[in-house]
Amino acid sequence: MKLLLTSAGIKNASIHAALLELLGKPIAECDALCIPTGLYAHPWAGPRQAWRFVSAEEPECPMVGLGWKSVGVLELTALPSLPEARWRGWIERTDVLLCDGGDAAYIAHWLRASGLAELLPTMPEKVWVGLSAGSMVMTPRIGEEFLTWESSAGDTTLGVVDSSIFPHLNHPDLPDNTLAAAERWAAAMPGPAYAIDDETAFTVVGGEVAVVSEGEWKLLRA
Amino acid sequence: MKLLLTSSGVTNASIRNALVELLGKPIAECDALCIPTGVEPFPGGPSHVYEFIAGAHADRMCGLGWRSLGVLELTALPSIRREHWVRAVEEADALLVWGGSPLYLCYWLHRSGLADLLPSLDAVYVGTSGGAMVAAPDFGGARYDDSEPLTGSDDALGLVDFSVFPHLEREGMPNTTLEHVERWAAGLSCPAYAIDDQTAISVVDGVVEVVSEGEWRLFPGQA
Repeated sequence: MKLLLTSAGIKNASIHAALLELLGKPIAECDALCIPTGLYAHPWAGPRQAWRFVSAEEPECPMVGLGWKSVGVLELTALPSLPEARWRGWIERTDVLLCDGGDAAYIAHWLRASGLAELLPTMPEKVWVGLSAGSMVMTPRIGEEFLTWESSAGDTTLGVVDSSIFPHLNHPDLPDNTLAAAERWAAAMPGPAYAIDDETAFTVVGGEVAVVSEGEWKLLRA
Repeated sequence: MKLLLTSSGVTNASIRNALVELLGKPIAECDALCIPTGVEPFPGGPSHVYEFIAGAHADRMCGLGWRSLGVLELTALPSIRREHWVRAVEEADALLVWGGSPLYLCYWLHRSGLADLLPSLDAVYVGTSGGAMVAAPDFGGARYDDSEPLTGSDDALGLVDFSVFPHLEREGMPNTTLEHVERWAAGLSCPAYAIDDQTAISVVDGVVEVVSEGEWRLFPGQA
């Protein structure tokens, strides 16, 4: 699995170019599945945000509306009550998974419970595009600051990458997302920790992490 | 709770007028929640969910011009705090319940706790296909479709005292012929309406009215 971990989606030309490189073909030739699941568990989100995400009514966070060949909705919470062969086929036939934010611990829980957390790393060509919590779910831990859902795993997420991510740095609508707050957060993280703004993303291919940015980011802890 | 039970959604002006009457105000002043869950077990599940919410089928339910829309995903409800979703349901003017597998939908309506809330809500229940079938006392056999029956039972919500068979005589759906529907109705414990894609049934305080620009049939119950 290749990763494009964003703070707020495909915000600029650099992140767009990075996405195309990971896909290896034009967006119009790629089938996408979008994952709204994390939104249901977060107190700031919920049903309306899920509708906006799926309907591409979020011009500030480009994901679903980029011009995919096809779009489907993958509900992680439904997977354990479906025949496994059926939903594995959906994953095998898709080129890219677009995971929106919300609560990263909730997304991690349902990726584990469904078996998708084990399946995805065995699929080298699949592209995972995360937004906010949809990116943080791939890191080792998210920190107590970002935990809103009570998980038996605490703030431990999947650890597909070894760096932790503090998203939305200096976002005007999020007064708590300052560099000072990010530095306090980083002190409790187990490994490398980055703060990134909404114009920044990471690509991860074969364990190689690269920063793609037209904005601000900082490595808080190496 | 008022209900509008359709075969294929709001497909014509008569059904749309009936919906506005049930809402008691224009659609543009109403907040709706859509429920895609029933179609998730179908072979093309993710694609069907998208078509309902934002794609080719949105015009019949989600795209009618609501003031706001939200997605109420029933399979998520048991694992999130009740206050995250109960208020949204209580404040909604309409619940748009898509079809798919009535068995799967009915299982999650019960499991989520939404089934217990429904009778006390002021919202209009707009059911399409499987979303209409689950409002009945039963939907005529656990083998309506080939999805895995989670409940092992065809007990449904009993919000109305009749059953609904959707897509009557739809082209390309051989099991919707009148002959097939007659056999289905013979096995039911209650009266049944077979309705085509241009027909809906409105129910207010137990008063049933058929709204149609197409074909429909009423079968009396056996008991």
